[in-house]
Amino acid sequence: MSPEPTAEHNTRGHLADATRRQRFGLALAVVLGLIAAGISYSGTKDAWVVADRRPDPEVVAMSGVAADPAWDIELPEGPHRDEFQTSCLICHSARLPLGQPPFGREKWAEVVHKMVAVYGAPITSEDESRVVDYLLAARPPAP
Amino acid sequence: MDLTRRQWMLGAASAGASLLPIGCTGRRRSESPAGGGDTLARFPGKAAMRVINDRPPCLETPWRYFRHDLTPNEAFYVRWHLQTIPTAIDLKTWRLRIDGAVDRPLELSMDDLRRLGGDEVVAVNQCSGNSRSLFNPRVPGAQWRNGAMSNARWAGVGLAKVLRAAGVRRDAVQVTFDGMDEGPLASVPDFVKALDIDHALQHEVTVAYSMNGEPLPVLNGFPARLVVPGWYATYWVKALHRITVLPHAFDGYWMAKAYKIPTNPNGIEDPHAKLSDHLIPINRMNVRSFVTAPEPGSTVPAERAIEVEGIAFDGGSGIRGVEVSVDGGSTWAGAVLGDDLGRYSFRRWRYRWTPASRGEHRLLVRATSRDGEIQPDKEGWNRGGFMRNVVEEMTVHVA
Repeated sequence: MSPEPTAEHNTRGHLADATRRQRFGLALAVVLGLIAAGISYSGTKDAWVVADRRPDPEVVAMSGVAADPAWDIELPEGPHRDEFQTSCLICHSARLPLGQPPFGREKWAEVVHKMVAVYGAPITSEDESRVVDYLLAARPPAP
Repeated sequence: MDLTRRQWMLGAASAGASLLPIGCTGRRRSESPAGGGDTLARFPGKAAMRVINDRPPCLETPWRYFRHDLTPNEAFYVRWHLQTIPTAIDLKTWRLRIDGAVDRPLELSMDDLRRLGGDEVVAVNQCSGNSRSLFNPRVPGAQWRNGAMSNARWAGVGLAKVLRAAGVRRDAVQVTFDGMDEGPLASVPDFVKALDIDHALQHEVTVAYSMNGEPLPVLNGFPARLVVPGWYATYWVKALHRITVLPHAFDGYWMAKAYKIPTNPNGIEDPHAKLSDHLIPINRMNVRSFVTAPEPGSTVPAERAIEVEGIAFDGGSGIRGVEVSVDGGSTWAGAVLGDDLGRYSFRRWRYRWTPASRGEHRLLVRATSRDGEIQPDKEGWNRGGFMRNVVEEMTVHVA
C-alpha cells in the first residue's frame, strides 16, 4: 500500500504514485461523468432525470437524490443575498422560501427567527433582519 | 445549448461519483388548469411530479392519478423534512431495532420482518398540510395544493406483532418511531414521532415493507415505513430503523412543538383573534372529498350526460355517502359509491349529470363519514395550515 502523498513526494517533476493514481481516477470519473451527462442532456436545467435503473430490491436500493444540488434554482438579485445563501441553504434549497406566499416583514421575521430558535440556523441576530431584507426583495409582498 | 460550466461540472461530479447518468429535460408545465407556473420534475423512481421543494424533496401527485383507487408508486407524493435522507440502503446490513421498555430488545432483518409479516391494509396517506396553499390568510410551510395525498395497498407486519415479540413492559406509555433521515446540523431536531401504547398495539398499525405489491420507492421510505391508517402522514415514519417503547410521554420537538392543532373541530382557530393556547398533536384525519373528473375550468357539452367522478375518505370510519351539487350548493343529489377497498381507503364515487343549460356551473361535492362527520361548507383556518376539509367547489363551462 502506498503512503499518503506528502510535500516531499510532491516536489516538481516527481509525482508520488498515489497522487498520480488519484489524479487518473479523478480524470476518469470526470470523463465518465461528462459522457454520461452529455448523453442524457437534452434541455435546460429546470428539471432532471436520473435514469431509472432499478436495483434488485432484495439486495440494495439506491437513489440519485444525492445529486440534487445540481438543480438548485437561480437566486434573484437582492440586498444581502450572500447572508441568505450562507444562512438558509444549508438545510433546504432556495425553492422552499422563494415558493412561499408574499409575506410581509413581520411574518418573515417570525419565520426566520423560528429557523434560528428551533433548528439552530447559523444566523446572528443582526443577520436575521438582513435575511428578511433579502426575502422581501426576492418575494415582494402583495400591494 | 445554454449549458453553463457549473452544470457540466455538477453533472459530471455526481455522475462520476455514482455512475448514474443524469440528464435534464426541459421545464414542463402542469397540465392542470388549476395552476400555471408549476415545475414538474422526475426524481429517482418517480414520475414527473409537481415540485414543492427539491432539497429535501417534497413532490405533489399530479391530479390525473386520483382517477384510480390506488396511487401508483411512482406517482405517490413525497414529503421529507430533513435534508439528509437515505439514498442507498443495503438490506444485508439494515436492521429494525426495537428497544426501550421491552423485555427482549430486538434487531430484525428484512427476512425476519417478512417471516412475521403478511398483514395488509389499503390506506390513504395524507399530509397534515395538504391544501395549505389554499388557506386564507396564507400560512408559511410547504405550499401544497390538493395533491399531498395518495392511497396504496400496504403489506408488512402488524406493529403489535413486532412489539409483542419484544415483550412490551407493563409501564409502557408511548412508542417512538425514528427514520434514517437527519438534519445537516446537529441542532436540527431529529424527526421522531410517537403514538400512545394503546394505539400502537391496535391491529391496523403496520410496519410496511411493500406498497402496491412492490418494495417502497426510496423516496417513499424504503425499506420500511410505519403505516398508521386514518391518521395524518406525519406519523407514517419513512425509512424506519428504530422503535422505542417509553415508560413516559415523548417530548421531542416533532411531537411537543410541531404538528399541533387547536382542540376545536377540524383544528380551526380565528386568524383575526388571539390564537388558541390549547394545542394537541394532530391525529385522525377529517372527512374530505374531491372531484377528479371533469377538470376544473373544462368545457362540457350541454344536454348530454357526463360522469362526474371523484374520491372521498375520512379518518377510518369509512364513507357513508357523497352528495354533488351542480348549481352552486342550492340542491344536492347522492352520488353512487364505487368499490369498497376498506374503511381507510379512497372511496370512489360517480354522479351522472346532464347539464340542461349553457354557461358556467359551480360544482360542489360533500362527503359524510359513517360516524356522521360531514364536510363543512365554510372554510376553516389554523396557523399550521392543517386539516383543510371545506366542501370543494369548481367551475365547469357548459357549451
